[in-house]
Amino acid sequence: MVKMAINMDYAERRNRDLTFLKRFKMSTTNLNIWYGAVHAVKNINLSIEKNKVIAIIGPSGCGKSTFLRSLNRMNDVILKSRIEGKILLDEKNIYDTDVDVVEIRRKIGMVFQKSNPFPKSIFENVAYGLRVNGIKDKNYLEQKIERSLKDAALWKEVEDRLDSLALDLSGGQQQRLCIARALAVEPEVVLFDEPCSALDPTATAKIEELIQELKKKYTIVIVTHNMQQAARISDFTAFFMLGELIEFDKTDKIFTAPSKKTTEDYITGRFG
Amino acid sequence: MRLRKIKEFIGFGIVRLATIIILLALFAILYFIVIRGIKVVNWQFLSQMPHSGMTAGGILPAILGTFYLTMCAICFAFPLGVAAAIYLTEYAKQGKLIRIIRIGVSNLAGVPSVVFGLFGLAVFVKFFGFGISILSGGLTLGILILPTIIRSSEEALLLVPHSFRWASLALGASKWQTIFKVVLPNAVSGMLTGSILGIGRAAGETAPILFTAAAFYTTKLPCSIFNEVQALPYHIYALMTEGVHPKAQVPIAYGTALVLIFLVLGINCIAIIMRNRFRRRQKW
Ligand SMILES: Nc1ncnc2c1ncn2[C@@H]1O[C@H](COP(=O)(O)OP(=O)(O)OP(=O)(O)O)[C@@H](O)[C@H]1O
Ligand SMILES: [Mg+2]
Repeated sequence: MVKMAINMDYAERRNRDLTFLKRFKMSTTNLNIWYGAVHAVKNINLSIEKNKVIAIIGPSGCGKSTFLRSLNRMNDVILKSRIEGKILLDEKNIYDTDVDVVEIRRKIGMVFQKSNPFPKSIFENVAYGLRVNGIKDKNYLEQKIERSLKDAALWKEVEDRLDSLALDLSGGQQQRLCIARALAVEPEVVLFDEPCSALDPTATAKIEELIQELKKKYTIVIVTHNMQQAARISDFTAFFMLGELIEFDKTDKIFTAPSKKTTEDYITGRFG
Repeated sequence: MRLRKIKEFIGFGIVRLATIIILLALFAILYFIVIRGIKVVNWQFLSQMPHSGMTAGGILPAILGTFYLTMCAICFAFPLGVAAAIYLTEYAKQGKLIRIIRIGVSNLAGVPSVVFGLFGLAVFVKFFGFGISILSGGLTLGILILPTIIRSSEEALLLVPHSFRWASLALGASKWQTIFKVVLPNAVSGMLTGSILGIGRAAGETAPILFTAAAFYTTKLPCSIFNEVQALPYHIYALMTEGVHPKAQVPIAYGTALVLIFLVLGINCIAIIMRNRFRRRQKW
């Protein structure tokens, strides 16, 4: 009798876990990151819902970029960095030893704060991710590149000069090119690290619009310093401070009725 | 106030003087060589075999010999040096071992060139049995310029912005793909520049080929890498120290020196032009 009760309980929990897993694309458990002796990210537990935009806000140096980079294992590249805890992508811990880092990075794309196109043509920039994944078919490449550039709202501006050098584009165009490049490999999650910090309001508006469009297909995590931007584009907001996750909730709630005093102080601009 | 001006005047005077002295020395060397050498340099001098016991004729075999030796050196040292640089900057865990290797490479650059000559004699000529040949001399020169190539290749690799590597890795490229598709293409001009400077150095060295490749006098042009060869720097040395007709030999030596100097300057100019062009093109 007792045993059955336990079993039922287990089954129920298992079901709950499964629906949990279906709803969430990624989740971190007790995530800690160090750079040498600097404890940059402290014990983060956070779940990222599918097809939603999650904004990460917080004062400079609080570990936003570090956290973001850990989601696609880009921190591995940094010397002296050490990580503890789990990060699940679907049901798999991406830090397990049997996981192929390259595969993880293909599934979880990243757009950096400073746009960083390769010194190649526009076409070759977008083709790069496909080529390194072994795609050679010219027709397929062309289609895919057109699709990605359209998704990144850049196609109209560059369709007649795909062969010109990417570095000749404007800052905003370069950033959208980097987005197109990330989208071309069909990631499941796209990480943005302050993608608009070097852009003017028009270019920023374009990228914000784009992110709204992208969430239909992708799950998006975006670090931003701009509170209005977080409020405008995100469904959930995580507030970090000194490496800790202070509050994580629906964006409306965070910006209208935060449950922590520190959060309120930060979003009302009392510090930071 | 006045005192400060005077001090400044003297200070600038000294540095200006130093620069002028250096320039004067350079021009004095050039002037000296040109004046003494120009009389014998003409088309025949460049295109004919020497004859009458090297008291007449041209220096074609020496020009060709130097060309073959440097080509052999660069073919050996460039791939090896670039590979080492890739390993040192991109793959190896930066730590004590790597620091020691770097110090080792720097010290290799400071080893007197005659020591390389002895090494080449012991290893390539004797141990591998290549004999006194283009191959032995080329390999010895290759080792001589290896540190230059490694250093300049490392610098070129480190100049490639990290953001390129990150972008590539974040797109799901492996480290190997990142190095070959993004890092190397952006570093190769810098590597070539450094290597061309290395060639200039190799072309002018006497000691490393003294026991490994150089012949005082050959009657035929070299036809395989196992032949010994004449080379410009050694030719000068030989003309000045051996033979019994100094009156006829000395002018030829100066003519040879003139050819060698312009060859090396020419090679360096190519390197500088390449570097400038490369700097103008890169925009990051
Ligand atoms: N490569 C690194 N090596 C050593 N320490 C680092 C490195 N990158 C970040 N840190 C440290 O980790 C902490 C968090 O940095 P992080 O870049 O994640 O902050 P951030 O929230 O993104 O800041 P910002 O808003 O200014 O971009 C900081 O104390 C920083 O000094
Ligand atoms: Mg940051």
